[in-house]
Amino acid sequence: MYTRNGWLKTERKKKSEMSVSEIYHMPDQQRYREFLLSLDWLAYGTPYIAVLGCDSAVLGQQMQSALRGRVPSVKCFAHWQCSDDFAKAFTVASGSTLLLDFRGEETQLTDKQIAEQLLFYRDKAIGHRLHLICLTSVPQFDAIHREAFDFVAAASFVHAFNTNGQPRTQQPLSTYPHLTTAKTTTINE
Amino acid sequence: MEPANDLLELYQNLTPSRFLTQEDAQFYVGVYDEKIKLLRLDLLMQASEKLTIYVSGQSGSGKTTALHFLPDEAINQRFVVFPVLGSDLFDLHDIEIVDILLMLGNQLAIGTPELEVQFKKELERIAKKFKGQYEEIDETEKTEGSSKGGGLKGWLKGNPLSALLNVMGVEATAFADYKLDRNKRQLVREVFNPSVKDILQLTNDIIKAYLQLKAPDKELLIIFHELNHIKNLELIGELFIDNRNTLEGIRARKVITIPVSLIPDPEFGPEVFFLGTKTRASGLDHDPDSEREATENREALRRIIQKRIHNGAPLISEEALELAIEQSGGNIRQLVSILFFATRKGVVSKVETLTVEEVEEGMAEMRRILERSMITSSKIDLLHYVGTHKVLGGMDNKPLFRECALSNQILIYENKNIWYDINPLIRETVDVYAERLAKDRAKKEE
Repeated sequence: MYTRNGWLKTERKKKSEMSVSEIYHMPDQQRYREFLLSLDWLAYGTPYIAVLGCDSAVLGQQMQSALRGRVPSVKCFAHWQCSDDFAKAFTVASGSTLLLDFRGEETQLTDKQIAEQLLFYRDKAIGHRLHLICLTSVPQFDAIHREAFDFVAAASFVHAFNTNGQPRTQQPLSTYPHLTTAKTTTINE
Repeated sequence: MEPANDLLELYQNLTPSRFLTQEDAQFYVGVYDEKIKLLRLDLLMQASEKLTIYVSGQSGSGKTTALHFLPDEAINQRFVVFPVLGSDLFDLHDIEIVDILLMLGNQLAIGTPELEVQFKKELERIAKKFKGQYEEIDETEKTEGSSKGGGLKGWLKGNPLSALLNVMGVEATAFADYKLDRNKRQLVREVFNPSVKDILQLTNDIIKAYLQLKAPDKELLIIFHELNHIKNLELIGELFIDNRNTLEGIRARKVITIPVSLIPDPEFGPEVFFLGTKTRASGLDHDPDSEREATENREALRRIIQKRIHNGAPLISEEALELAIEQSGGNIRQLVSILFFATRKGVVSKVETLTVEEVEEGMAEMRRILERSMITSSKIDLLHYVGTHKVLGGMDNKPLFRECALSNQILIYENKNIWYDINPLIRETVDVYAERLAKDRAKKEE
């Protein structure tokens, strides 16, 4: 079916039905591909850290499913009620791939505590050559930048992903309206 | 790690989380050779058996790597070198002098059953004291409204002291949960803090016995890595200012890494070995030496990258490398990260040689990380001031300076004097926002 302008009219999909690349805000689709490539390019025995921010639950869910498909051996941890949960997560064999998903409602640690714990375990992750993928909400992503710069600085991939159709997440310096120079972009479906 | 022949191999060699170890000696560039030589000389020549040398440098300056390469033949001949990795032993967000003493004693005793016999009496004496104190606490805890309730008994089951006793031959890993459990640590501190002297004495006795057993002709050299990662200003003050005498009282020569925020702190007295490179001459005054040093440092930074590339492989253009060095601000990890991200772009775009275009992409990536936490007007003010004047302008805002220094938004340099500058990657952004802030303020005043 074509519109009056001659464009092919495609049916609008629900977000939950979208493929993992469709769901990303357009500029982030390329970033997501780069993230997947960064996983493919890992040299044997090299530690790897990725910090991924997600601005919506559905994006995080899709990302988690895609990762499980891509790296079947990935060990997922999503319960963060006390610092012991970090200790448990990090008692895996050397060279394992860990997906630490902090976005769940069950997460009782504050954003700051999560950042502190990640910094605390950074060298262990590196020493044991773990592949560490952290899935965070936008506030958690910001807290990790603020409180655990050394963790982020050791990461091979860092990006806050935006969902297609959502208002874009705040960019650096746009948090305070009086400091904003650029307008935030909203793309409606 | 092997020298790279193509961009994909270079990408792997530049992974930011990869640290050089002794096995990678062929890739090591002695950026701080002169300072490390001085440090070795002090360790070997100074008479004090408790000599304490403080080392500092910014995150990513390469100090941990430099300290890994500190022990040479002369040092190994004279000392038993005992590296203590901070994050392996301590919770750096909750650390006190007692933790350091207890963990040090424990680490020395691991795998040395003879020490159990030797220190049994002493440990039992402390255990009795601990028990007595525990009973007092326990009585208090039994009273109504106590937040701890009956939990104390639970904690004591695996208390660090009994673990310490166990460790003397039985359970070498029993201390593992000490760093993980804040409640346990708090309890131990309540008991031990009034008698830090006793614990120091015990630690020193263990050191003495350890040396007699392991190497009677040698002295102990302890290298405390990563204590510079402590962020909490109160903890920093308590550990390095209030308890400095205790820390320096450990009977061994010590090299201790300390947080950069202590450098401008007037309350912290001793001399600090500052490890950091610079790509520009001193920002404070004209100093021909500083220009020479900057040139030498740039050359060293170039060698760090060149060593990871196979001889003659044209993986990065001269201009692009020069730009990356300039924009690194002299921070080794920032240089490596810029080129890592640039290489990723290069591999995606299927180029064979990195040009200025890819390096600019790498810079943008790194800039995003640095700017993510640069959100308050007070931070913009501080960064703009430092970028303009190259000094801090007083220590009125310690927490803000600490935050900016720890996240490498402010870079610290040393020539004849310490001076400061804004990270070159964020300079333009800060200038734009500082101008905007000034305009907003002027409007409000009208």
